[in-house]
Amino acid sequence: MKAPFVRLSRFRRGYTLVELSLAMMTGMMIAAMLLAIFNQQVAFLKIFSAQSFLTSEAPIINNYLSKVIGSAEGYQLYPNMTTLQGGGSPVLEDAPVLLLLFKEPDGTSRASILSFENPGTGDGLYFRRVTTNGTISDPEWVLSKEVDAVNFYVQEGVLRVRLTGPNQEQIVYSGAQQL
Amino acid sequence: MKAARLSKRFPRGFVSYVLVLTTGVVLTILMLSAYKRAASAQVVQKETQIRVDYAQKEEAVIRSIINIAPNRAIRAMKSGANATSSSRDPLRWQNIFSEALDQANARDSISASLKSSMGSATGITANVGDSTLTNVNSMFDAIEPEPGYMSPGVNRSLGTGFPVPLNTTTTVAANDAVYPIISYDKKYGALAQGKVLLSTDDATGYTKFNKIPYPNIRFGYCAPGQPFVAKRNWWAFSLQLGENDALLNSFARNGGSEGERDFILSIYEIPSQLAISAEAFTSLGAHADGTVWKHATIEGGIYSTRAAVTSGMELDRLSSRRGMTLGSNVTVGGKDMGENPFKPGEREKFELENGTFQPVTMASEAGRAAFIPINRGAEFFDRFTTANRVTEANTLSPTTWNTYSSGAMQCAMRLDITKVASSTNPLPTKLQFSYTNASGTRVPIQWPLEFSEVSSFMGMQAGFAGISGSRTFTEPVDLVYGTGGKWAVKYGVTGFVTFDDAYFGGDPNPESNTANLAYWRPQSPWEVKMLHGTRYSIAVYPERIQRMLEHFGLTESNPASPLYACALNPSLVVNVDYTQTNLYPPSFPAAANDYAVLLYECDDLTDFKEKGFSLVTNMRLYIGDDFNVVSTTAPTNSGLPSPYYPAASLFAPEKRYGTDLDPFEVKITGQLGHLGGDTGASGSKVHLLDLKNGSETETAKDRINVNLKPITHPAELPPITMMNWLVVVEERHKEFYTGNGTN
Repeated sequence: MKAPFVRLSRFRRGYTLVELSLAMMTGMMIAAMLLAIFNQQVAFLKIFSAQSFLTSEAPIINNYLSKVIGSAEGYQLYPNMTTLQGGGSPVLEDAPVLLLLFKEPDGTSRASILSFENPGTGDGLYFRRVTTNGTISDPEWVLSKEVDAVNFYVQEGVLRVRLTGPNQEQIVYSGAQQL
Repeated sequence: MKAARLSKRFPRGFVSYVLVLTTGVVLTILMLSAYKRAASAQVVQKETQIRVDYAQKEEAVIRSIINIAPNRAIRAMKSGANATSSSRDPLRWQNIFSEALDQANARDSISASLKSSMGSATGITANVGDSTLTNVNSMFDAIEPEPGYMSPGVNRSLGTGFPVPLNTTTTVAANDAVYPIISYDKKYGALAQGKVLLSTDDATGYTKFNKIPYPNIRFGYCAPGQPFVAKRNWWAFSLQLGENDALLNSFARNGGSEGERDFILSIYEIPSQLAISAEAFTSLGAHADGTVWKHATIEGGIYSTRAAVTSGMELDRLSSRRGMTLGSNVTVGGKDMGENPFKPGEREKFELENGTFQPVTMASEAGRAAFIPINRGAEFFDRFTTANRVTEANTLSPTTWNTYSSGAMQCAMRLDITKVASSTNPLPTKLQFSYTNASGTRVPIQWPLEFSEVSSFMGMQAGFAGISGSRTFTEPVDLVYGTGGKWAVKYGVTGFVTFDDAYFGGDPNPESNTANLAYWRPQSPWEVKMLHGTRYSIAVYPERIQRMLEHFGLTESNPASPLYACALNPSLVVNVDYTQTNLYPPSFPAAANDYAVLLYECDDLTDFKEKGFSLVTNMRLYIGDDFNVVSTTAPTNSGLPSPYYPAASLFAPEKRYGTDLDPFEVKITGQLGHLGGDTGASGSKVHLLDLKNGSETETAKDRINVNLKPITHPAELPPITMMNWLVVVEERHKEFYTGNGTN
């Protein structure tokens, strides 16, 4: 009978209140920390997700815009495609449509259009081409569909574009022609 | 007491294991996801940053090429350019490109010394595109599939989207691919026929300059697209800086050519053609005393290095290099420009509202353009400056710099004062004349004015040819009769003449037993005259030049022929050869005893109809007659309307209107220019319409009547003009020449 008693005394002895409290507190702290870490990671993901437009999409849009605007010899801003197609007057601000003018070295002129519109395929920043006979093509490709709004405007002579992302985050880029 | 039964299937602590591992896995997945997103964003930022950096570097490189190329083109025209490899190599395109990389700080955005001076010696440069950029041949290419660094725009078409090519010799074409070559030998020819506005036919067309559209740049010497008179030299090249290091796969696509951008570097040679072309700080609209111009009509554009425009002026177009001030209510192109049309935003606002560039421009407003007046200053007028006396050899361009840039050096006829009576008597006693013969060779002729030292007039000395017997002269001639240095002279003779002692008032040399000889020449186109009793002057009579040249053997009678005497010799430079004893360079302003040039018999320049007439002198020029007021038919095939006045230009450091008598009124039609240069902020203004009479009094301001208008056709260009270079780099957007872009 001695041996089982010894075993029982070694393994079946209860915890003291202090031990139990300590163990429970430690467990709760670990659980809380785990929960905090988990929440933090989820928050990180949410932040990354929320900022993905600013960190991933917008720079690429800017990269394209700065390249294409830099190589244009002129530009005009329009409040919408209808105004442009109807020969309406250009504006200086709040313009989702940017008409880019290119003068070729052989003396000919070309033009293309970047317009934030919904041509039936969803909102996006679309590229249209002005053909050699002056007609405006259907949207040929879309630069971004993640963008929620695009506003071109001129401020003190500098062309700026305000890009609004899906979470209403905004970023403004500035550029100028290099002619 | 019943002991707890331990599970045999799951060991003790299993749940803890599961919890810990699950939590760990979930957290790891979350972390990896976050890491992946962060890494992805970083890649985007990194690639965007490097692309932006390369794009900005490329832009800076392009601008540097604009600075460097014209300088190297000038050096290629200078003597010794082709003498050694050390003089030749810096002019090669690859070295121009390499220097452009340096000048643009493309290799090292911020030097260590600059960082140190900014107190950031240990700072990390964020320009991720910085690199040694050693492989110039990978970054700069000729247009595919041509080899080398540059595709010159000569002798073949490069395809759609490229400018009209010029024609030239195979030697120049070969050099043009290696060096920037500007030469008279690059012409509009068969390749340009029908692609420029005027015929480029070799015999009857406009090969030196033609009418071409002005480039679409902000610097508005002319309006964008407006036809203007010029020649466009161009070279095409491809550029992709990223190809050197190929840090992104996209930089190396298709052997690197996929991402290359095609550029065209153009140097437009623009003869001055605006109503006013002033390389000076010019006051427009007012005289020096503040009174406004009363009878001045200005049509078309104005160029001035710096300009101050008087209130209320109405101009069509105004361009400058260094700046301008506009008075109130100044309208340019019909629009009130305000006092500062260059205020930030004004320019862009104008462009957006009008769809074109402002008619008020400065060269500094155009990033990819440079305007370079070829202004040699006093050397434009003078063949005897140290620089102009150099015999130019070993040049890369067949057109040498002095010939190209100095009006005096370009003149087909030269007349120099080479001898004076003594150190105390400045009376000119000898001239040196030369003209261009039918084969293009310069023919020198001694032109003594004092005949006592002349023993014989052999070799057409002073233009005299032997004659005997008798002759009837229907037009004035000069006659010499005598022998042994003793001569009887009669000027301006007409009618019947028998060449004997009786006609000349006796034997001029009775002591000689040698028979007297007679010589004649058409009335001399120049002579020495005293002006105002103090100033020895060379009087020039342009209307007499054709007869004299015919007398020398240029007998082509068809004025439309390029072999017509005045077509071969449309320009005259009159200089003092101060390399000779007792002769000195004219001062500016002219000193009291400096020589002058007097212009007489110049109202009818119709002999010069085909090529025009130009006079260049480094002396003060007195205009003693009406100048070029007789109209004629326009040059053959020009299509210009009547009345047509032969193209003419007068270049002199100073001009006076009238000689012995002051004119009642001065009327000027055509163009006005100034070569004085702009000495900077403290420099005084030039008042172009402040004219002076021959008596040194100011011309009454209400009797100055000017009607200035631009040259719009090459046939209106006089033989000597001021030259300007407009250097432009334009991109040929590849996307418009492939796939859907072609439509």
